[in-house]
Amino acid sequence: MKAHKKMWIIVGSLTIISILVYLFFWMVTSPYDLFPDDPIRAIRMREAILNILSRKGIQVLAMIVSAILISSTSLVFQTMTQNRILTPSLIGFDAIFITVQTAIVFLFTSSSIFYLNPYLNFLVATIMMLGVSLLMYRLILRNNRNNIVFLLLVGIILSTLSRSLASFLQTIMDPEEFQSLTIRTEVSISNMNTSIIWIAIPMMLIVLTALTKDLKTYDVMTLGEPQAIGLGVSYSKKMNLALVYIAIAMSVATAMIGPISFLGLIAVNAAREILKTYRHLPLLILSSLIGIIFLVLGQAIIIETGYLTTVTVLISMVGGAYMIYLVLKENRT
Amino acid sequence: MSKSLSLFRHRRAILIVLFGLLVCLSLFVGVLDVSVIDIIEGNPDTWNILWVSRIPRTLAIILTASSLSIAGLIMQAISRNKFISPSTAGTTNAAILGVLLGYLIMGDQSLIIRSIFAFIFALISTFIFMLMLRKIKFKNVIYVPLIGMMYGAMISSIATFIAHRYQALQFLNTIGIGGFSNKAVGSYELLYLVVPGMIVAWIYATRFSIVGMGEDFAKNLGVRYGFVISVGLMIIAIVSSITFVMVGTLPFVGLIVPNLVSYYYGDHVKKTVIDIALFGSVFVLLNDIISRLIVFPYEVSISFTMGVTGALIFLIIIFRRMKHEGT
Repeated sequence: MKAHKKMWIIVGSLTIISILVYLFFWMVTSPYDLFPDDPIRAIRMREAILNILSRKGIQVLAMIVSAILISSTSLVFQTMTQNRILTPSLIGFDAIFITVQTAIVFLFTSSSIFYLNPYLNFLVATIMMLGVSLLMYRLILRNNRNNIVFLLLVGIILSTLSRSLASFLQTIMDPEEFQSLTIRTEVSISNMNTSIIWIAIPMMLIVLTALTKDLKTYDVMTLGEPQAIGLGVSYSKKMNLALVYIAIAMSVATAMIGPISFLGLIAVNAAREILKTYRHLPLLILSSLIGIIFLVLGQAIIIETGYLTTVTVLISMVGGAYMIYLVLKENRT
Repeated sequence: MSKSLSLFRHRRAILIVLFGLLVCLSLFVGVLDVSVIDIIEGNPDTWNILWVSRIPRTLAIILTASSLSIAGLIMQAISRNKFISPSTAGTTNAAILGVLLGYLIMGDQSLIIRSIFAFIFALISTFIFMLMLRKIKFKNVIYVPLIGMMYGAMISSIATFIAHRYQALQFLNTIGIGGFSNKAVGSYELLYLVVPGMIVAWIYATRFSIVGMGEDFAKNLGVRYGFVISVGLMIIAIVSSITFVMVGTLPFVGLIVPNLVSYYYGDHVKKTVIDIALFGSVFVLLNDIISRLIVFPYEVSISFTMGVTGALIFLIIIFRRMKHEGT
């Protein structure tokens, strides 16, 4: 870690700058006089500013939590698949999420407590997503040991299946119910579901603690399955556990900021490129920071440029080009 | 040998009977009653319904399904990968991008111009994907289509970016949503353009599977590698762009049909082209009839039905394949 001291300082300060830009840059460009002399207006203005800041603060928090969850689990997922390009978002958690929400509205109507209470709704959605992914793990990994690439393929097909089912339910649903449903299903970075942030943070902490406890094991698992087993790692068990953490993390991130498929790919590969190490601890920290920078700074820039595009699209474009570069480079070495 | 050959014929006969039955069913199912007696008696109203709506619709289904299945077959033969099809290699996404750009450059235009734009982009994108495929070292059967889908996601994000920039998001969302419900006289004839593509595919069938074995191998057998690949890519691009513009996306057809057929008939590409066309038609006809009946007298989009049935069948295929390879 010491060899990269300068780099850590740069990345660390960039992260802080990103957050500050997101929180405060609007003040610079605001057409209003934010600190008027008139005392009554000053009080009102201060209230308005605090209001905006607290909203932005929660948004930043949601983005940070999601970025950390996505980056760190992508890192572990790459270790499990022995591959630098695949990310867990390919499993298609967003499709399962949409289907769960549609099914809730369809079965219990949009006025039910499962739909209206954000915490309960989130819990139901997360448990369902977790259930589906665990079922998939069991079905596939038991018969085909450690074949995660196969798992991904099944995941993609399942997501097409569940998306078709959701669309079907949505077509035959009452139009008003459908309207209220879109609020939940069209979650994206510019339309975050921040109401669940106070349950997302503890979940992130749980996942992170669990992951950090196993980081050394993951270092060994990088060597490959036979080598790791030879060195005394109970490979299948550790992998199944890691997949559970990944499923939890992806469920939380999807419910909060929607699907961002290429973020993990960019963050983890950039971190690998910079650090040139196989140790998971520094990689996890750096990729989380890079993830935060991409997400928060990207969103800040997009807001300031008047929503020229969305950060999801931006990340997909950058990430896609980067992926092609990685695929071609892999061949040369 | 002779036994397997007779079995082979037998299966094709079953397929043809099934096909005939479903065609009849497709002609008779609908809100307006069509009865056999009316047809024989020459009732003008009944004949009108058949002629204007039912026959075009059925023809559209047959053309789309068979050409898409053959395009999938070509793609799988060239890349030697059973999990590749226009929908898992970015071709469909590129067609969407093409239609969007055509709309932005030239405004709302005819279906022919839309198809041309879709064709050009589908061709370029498929070509790039094939180039990438040659560079990929780790040619795991499943890894390659995953890369293809990520590549498709990138193309889609470019389309979203452009659409967002020029306030065309709403238009973007309407591209590719279709189905066969609006197919009547005057709105399906462009689909005939896939017929030459299918004929060429039949002529070149053997050469596609030779090309799939690698450049050196193909050259040793006297097959012009680059030329045959280009012919294949052209057919894929024509078929996927025209069917896409005319009927929208039909998930899984190009993927499942060649897989199922090769499961029952083996990998002899030349022999199976016709079976694949038949099987594809049977599959899509069945799905179309289901979509027409499930909320009768209304219809659901065939994309939903295909998404469900196709996904289930595909899951069964890959589970079988994996079990086979795993043991």
